[in-house]
Amino acid sequence: MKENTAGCLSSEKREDIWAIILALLVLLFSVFAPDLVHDIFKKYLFII
Amino acid sequence: MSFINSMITPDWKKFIPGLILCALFAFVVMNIHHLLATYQKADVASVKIPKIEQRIAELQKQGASQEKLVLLQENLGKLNKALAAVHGRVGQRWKWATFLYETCQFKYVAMLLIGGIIIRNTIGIPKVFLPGIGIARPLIKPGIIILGVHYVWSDVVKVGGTGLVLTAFFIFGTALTVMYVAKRKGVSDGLGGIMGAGTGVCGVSAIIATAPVVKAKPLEMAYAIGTILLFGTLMLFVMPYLGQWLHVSQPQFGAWAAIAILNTAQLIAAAEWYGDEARNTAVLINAARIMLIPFIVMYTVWFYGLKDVGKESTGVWNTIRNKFPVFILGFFALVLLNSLDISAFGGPREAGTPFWAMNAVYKWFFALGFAGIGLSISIDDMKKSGGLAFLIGSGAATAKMLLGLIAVMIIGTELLKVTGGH
Repeated sequence: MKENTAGCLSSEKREDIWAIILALLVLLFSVFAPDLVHDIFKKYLFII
Repeated sequence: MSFINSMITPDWKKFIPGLILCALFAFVVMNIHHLLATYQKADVASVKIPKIEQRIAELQKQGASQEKLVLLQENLGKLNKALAAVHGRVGQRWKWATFLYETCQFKYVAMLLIGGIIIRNTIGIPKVFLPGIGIARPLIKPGIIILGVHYVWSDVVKVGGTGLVLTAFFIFGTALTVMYVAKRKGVSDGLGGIMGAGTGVCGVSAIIATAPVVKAKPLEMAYAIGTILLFGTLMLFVMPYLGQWLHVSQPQFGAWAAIAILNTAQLIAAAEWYGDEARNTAVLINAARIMLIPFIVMYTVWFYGLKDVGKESTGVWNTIRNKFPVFILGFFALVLLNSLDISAFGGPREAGTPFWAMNAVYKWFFALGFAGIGLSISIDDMKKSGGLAFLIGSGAATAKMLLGLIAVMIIGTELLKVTGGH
């Protein structure tokens, strides 16, 4: 039981690590295509 | 491989419908917000343009410095751009947009929260969407990490330091008061302990962290979480209007909200609602206060004298390691990168740079999270807040809010203002 649970992350920790992964992805895309990232979130997603 | 497995729950598919619903809700609301903001800016521009043109003409006659004129012309350029965005002309008015956006503060935060609560409690949400809605709330966390590009270390030391002292005082003061009164009134250690930790710091996270330590029962956890969420929801809607009425400055409001609103998501929502400067201060103080969670757990152990609790789970190092909110390290990593002033990353206001691009993204993460909060607030769940413990918890939280207001009024704006560097 202990061995099985040792590798498991609590949901709180999992959320935190996913948050870091998502932020890293945003950083990565922003480094390679800053204008595209900016335009997607500031222009293209607004349709009205 | 086991790390990857532990990162993905086997039943991940159940989250998809709720996440899609939140994304659609956020998308619609963000577009309404954008429309209102565009017309409100045009309305302001329509009134200001003739005044600024007149001022420029006066200054030119007086032979004023070029510097002054350039500033006014830059401002005029921005106003003309705002008017052109709606194909408007000077003198044309869009008072409805100003009324909704400025007077009523009907921004994306309010629309997502109020709209979400109305949808959840009138039309209702089919069960298939609920798991995904629950998982949308933590999407505020990547937004908080990305906001790290708004700060430099001098802000962390100045605002974060002030905030840390302020919140530490209120956190431990409230926790001690609630635990003491609960014990005196015969409330169980489980409920008193989690209510004390919850009203002291970060609400739900602290309740979840403390519950195993005081062996709180599931029903007691539901009571405490219900109380925290009910109080947080009330404050979320009351504080922005109260702040405006009392003429609380934006940085002061950010600090005040960080003291009074316990749940991170609700805090960010209230501060974002009040304004960008309020949000910047609130996020930084929140980063400081959530680092105190492991210490509130240890404090609870000390207060209830739980020496017999399993040593493995309550050792100092284990508590810090298990309860430390890891995502905040991502936030501080970005603050560090921004402070180093590396030209390759630029800054949030330097067009064409990575940090400028990142700055465009965080609001969408917030919108998804706020959609999750609004759609998950159920009046029935709120009714679960429990009797005497609710009275003690909400009484302490109200006292903390009022004392917090006095504290930020004494501290003033300057010490709580985030500069953001370049």
